[in-house]
Amino acid sequence: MPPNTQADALRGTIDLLVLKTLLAGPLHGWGIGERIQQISRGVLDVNQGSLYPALQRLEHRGAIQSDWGVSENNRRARYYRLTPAGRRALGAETESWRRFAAAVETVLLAP
Amino acid sequence: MSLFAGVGARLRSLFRGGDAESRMDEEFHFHVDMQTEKYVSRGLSRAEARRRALLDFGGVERHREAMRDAHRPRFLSELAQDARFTARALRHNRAFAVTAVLIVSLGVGATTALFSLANALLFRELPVAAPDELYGVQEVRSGGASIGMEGRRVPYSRYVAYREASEDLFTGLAAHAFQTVSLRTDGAAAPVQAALTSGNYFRVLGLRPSAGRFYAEDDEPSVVLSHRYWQQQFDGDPAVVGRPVHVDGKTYTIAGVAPSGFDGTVVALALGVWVPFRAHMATDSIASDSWVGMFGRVRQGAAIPSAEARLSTIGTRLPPDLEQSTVERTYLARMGGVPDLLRPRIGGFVGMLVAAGFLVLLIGAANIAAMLLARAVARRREVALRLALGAGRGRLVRQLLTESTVLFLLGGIGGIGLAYIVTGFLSRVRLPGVPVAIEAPPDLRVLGFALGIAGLTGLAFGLAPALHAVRLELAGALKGGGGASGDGTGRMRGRSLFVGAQIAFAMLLLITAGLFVRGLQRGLALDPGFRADGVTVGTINLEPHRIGEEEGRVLQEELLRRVRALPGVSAASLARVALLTGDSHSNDVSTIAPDSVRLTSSYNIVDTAYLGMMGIDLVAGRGFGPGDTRGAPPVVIINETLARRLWPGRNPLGMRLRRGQEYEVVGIARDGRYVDLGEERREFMFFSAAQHYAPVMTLHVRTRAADPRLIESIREELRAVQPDVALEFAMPLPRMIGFPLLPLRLAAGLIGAFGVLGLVLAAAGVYGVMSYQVAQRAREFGIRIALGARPADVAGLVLRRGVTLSLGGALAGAALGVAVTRLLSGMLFGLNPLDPVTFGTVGGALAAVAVLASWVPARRALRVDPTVSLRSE
Repeated sequence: MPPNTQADALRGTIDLLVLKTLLAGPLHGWGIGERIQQISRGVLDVNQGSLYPALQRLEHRGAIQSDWGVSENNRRARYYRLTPAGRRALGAETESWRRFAAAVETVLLAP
Repeated sequence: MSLFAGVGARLRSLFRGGDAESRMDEEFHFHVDMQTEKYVSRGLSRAEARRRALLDFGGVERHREAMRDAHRPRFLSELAQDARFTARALRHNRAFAVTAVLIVSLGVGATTALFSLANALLFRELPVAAPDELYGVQEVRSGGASIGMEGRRVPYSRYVAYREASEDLFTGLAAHAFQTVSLRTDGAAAPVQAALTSGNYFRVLGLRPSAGRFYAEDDEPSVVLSHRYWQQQFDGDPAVVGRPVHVDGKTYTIAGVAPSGFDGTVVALALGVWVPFRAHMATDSIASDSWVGMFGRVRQGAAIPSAEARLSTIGTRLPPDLEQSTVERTYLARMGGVPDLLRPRIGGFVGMLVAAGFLVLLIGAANIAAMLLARAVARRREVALRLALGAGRGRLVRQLLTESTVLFLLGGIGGIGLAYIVTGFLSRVRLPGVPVAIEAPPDLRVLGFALGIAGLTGLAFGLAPALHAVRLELAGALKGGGGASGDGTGRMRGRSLFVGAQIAFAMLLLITAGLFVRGLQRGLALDPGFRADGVTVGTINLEPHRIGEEEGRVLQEELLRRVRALPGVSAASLARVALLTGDSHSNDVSTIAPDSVRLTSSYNIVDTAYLGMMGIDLVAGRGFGPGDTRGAPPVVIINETLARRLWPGRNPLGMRLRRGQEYEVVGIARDGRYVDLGEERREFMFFSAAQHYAPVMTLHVRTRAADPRLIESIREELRAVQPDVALEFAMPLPRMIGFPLLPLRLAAGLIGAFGVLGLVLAAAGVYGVMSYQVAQRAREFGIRIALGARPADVAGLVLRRGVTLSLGGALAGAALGVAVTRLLSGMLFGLNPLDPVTFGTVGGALAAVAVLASWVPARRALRVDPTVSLRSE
C-alpha cells in the first residue's frame, strides 16, 4: 500500500482542523497547511495528499466556499472561507471530537 | 442555501471537468511555489528549495486522482475503476472469458432470434404513417360468421354502410379481402397472392408509392404491385408503370408500385398485387358475394371505448344480411402482426419458443456461475488481501459483479450478431406454393431485449459467486490453506445447486421436445381414411372469370380428360376441397319430420372417380355413378358418424336428409379425418359434382411414380384449355397436409436442439463439479485408501455423489415438466402430456449422460495415491 497510512489516520480529523483554521478568516490551501503546522508547533504535518481532497470534500458539503483572491506575495490564489453551514459543522464536530478524546483519555487512565 | 450551494458545486464539477482540472493545476503550482519561497527564506538555494518543495508535494498525478475522486460522484469513479479492473482480469483469463462469452452468445442469440420473430408476429407496427391510429373494425356475430386473415368479415355492402355511418370517427374506413388471383403479363397465368381493396385503401394507410401512383376511388381498372413482386418479376423496371396486365381474365393497367417493406397489413402473408374491388367484380355485383375485412384510421382525439360503442350501435341497427346471424357488438383491434384472432394461439406458441431459448441461456449462465465460483476459490488470496487492506466487502462484491455483467453484456452483443444471422436466414426461407415471407429483423425493441436479458442474467448469476468470494475467513485464506474449510463446502453446495438447476432445465427442454416428436409420430401414424401418397393437387378457380355453369363444366371436363391422358397419370378427379388441408365447408342438415334431428356437418363435392381414386371405403351402399345426373333424384353419401348421429341404431341406406332440398342416402363411407388431423369423429358427407356445380374445384391427380414435372405439365394443359386461369396451391397432397404440422416440427427441432445443447452444458457442469470434488477430497480419499478402503469404494463414493446430484436435478426437471407440458396437450394429437415413454426416455438419457460425466472424475479418484496425496500439504 502507498505510504499514506498516517494521512488515513488524519482523515477523520483533517476536516475539523481545516474548519477551525478557516474560522480565523479566508485562507489559501498552502496557508491552511502552514497554519495548522504552526499552531500545533510542528506536531501536525498536513499531507497535501489529504489536504486538497479534504478541501474539495468540504466544498461539496457546502461547509466552505472558494474564490480566487490575491495572496500576500501578489499572486492569484484560491481562497477558502467558512460558510454558515461550515460554522455549524465546526461546532458539531468539535463537540464530537471532544467527546471522543475524553473517552480515549478515560480508557487510558483506567487502572 | 448551503445545500443548494453544495448541489451547484457538484453539478459544476460534473459538467465542467476542464475548469476543475485547470483550477487544480493552478492551485498545485501555487502551493509548490509558496513552499519553495519558504525554503528559500530558510537559506536554501532556489534550485534546492524547489526540489525539496516538489519532493514534499509528492506525485502530482496521484493528488489529481484523489481530487478528481473527491469531486466526481464516487459511484462513477469507482465504476470506471471496476471496468478497468475487469478488463485486466478478463485479459488475464482469456480462455475463461472467451468460453463464457461464447456460451452467453449462444443463449442470448437463440432467445433474441426467437424474440425477434415474436416481435414481428405480435408487436411490430405496420410501416405506414402513424400506425397507432389504424384499427381493424371487428363485428362479432353469433350463428354464422366469416373469419379470415382480414379478421371478421362483413359483406361489401355492409362495409359501405359502416363507412357512411362512421365518418365522424374515421378519417377513412377501408376494406380488403385476401385472394389468390391469376396474373398474366405475356406468357402463362401465374397465381399471385392479392388483396382486393376499396379505392381509399392506400390513402387510409398513408403510404407513398415507390414508383408510379396508387389507384383511387374512381379510376379506370388499375393495379398496384408490391415492391417485392416488382423486383422478382420485372427486375424493378420503372417502365412497367402504365403497362397492361391480365388479372383473372380482365385487363388492368399497372398504376404503380408500393413502397419497399410494405407487403400488406398481415405479417407473413406477403402480397404481390393490390386490385380494386370495383374493377375486379362485375359491375355493381359487389354487394352480394364479397366478404371483406374493415380497417380505419381513427380521427385524432377519438376515444376508443366510445368509438366502439358507436360502432356497435351502427352494427346492430344495420339490417341483418344473413339468416340466423345476429350482430352482438363491434370492437376495434390494433393492426400489425398476426390477425387479432390468431394472436393468443400464436403468442402462446412463440412465447414457448422464446422461453425455451431463455432456458438455454439460464443453463449456460449456470455453467458460467459455476466457473466464477471456481475462480472465486482461485482468487481467495487476492480477495483476502484486499479485504485486509481495508477494501469494503460491498465494494468488492460490486467489482466482481461488474466482471460478470461485462462478460454477459459482451455475450449479449455476440448474441445480437447471431440473431441477425438467424433472422436473415429466416427471411430467405420460402415454402413452395405458399405466399409466406417472414421478415423479422431485430429492431430497437429487440436490441433492448437482448441487452436486458444479458445484463440481468449477468447480475443474477454473478451475485452468488461474488457473495461467496467475499465471505471468507481472512486469516485462513491469507495463510494459503486451500483445504476443505467450512466455506469450501458452502461453495460446493452453491455449485451443486447450479448444476442441479442445469439438469432440471435441460430435462424440461428435452421432455418438451420429446413430447412434440411423439405427438408428431402419433399424428403421422393416424389413419386419415384415404390415401394421399402419390396424389398431387391444384385448385382451379373460375369464380372471378365470369364463366357460367355450362361453360365451366365443359372446361372442367376438358381439363380432366387432358390430365388423364398425361403419361404416368393413373387417375384424376375433381373435388371441392382437398381433405385435411384446413379448407372446410359445412351446412346444417336434418332428418325428415316428425323425429327431426338437426346438426351441422362438413361436406365435400366430388365427381364419380374421387372416392375410388382416394381409397375412401364404403361400408354399405354405392358410390356416385353415371346415373346421378342433374335431372336425377339428389343423392348423398354420408360417413358412419353422421349416420349414427342422424339415425342411431337404424339402417341409414335409403333414408332421406334435408339440406335445402331432400337427398337420398345411397352410401355409407368409413369414418376418416377430414379437416384437421387431430379431430375425432367428425360428421361428413359427400355430394355429387354432377348434381352440384362448383366454380372452385381442386384437381386431384394420382401418378404411378413421382414426377417432378407433373405440375408444369398440368399447367400446360390448363393453358391450352383457358390461358387466363391459373393453377393455384399446386403441390403434392402429402406436403399440403403436412403444413399444419410445421409448427410442431419447428418446435420439436428447435427445442430438441436447445435440449441437446442444454444437456451438453449440464454434462460439462456435472463434470466440473465432480472433478473439483475429487481434487478437494484427494486427501480424504488418500486416508480412506490408506485405511484399507478398496479403490472401487472410493470411486463409488464419487459416482454416488454425481448420480444423486443428477437425480435431484432430473426429478426437479420432471416436476417442472409435469407442471408445464399440460399447456401443450392441445397440440399433441391426443398424446398424454405426461407420456411415460417421453419422461422415461429423457430421464434415462439424462441419467446415462450424468453417470458418464461423473465417471471420468471417479476414475481419477481411483488413481489417488495415498503416499502422494497425504504428503502434499
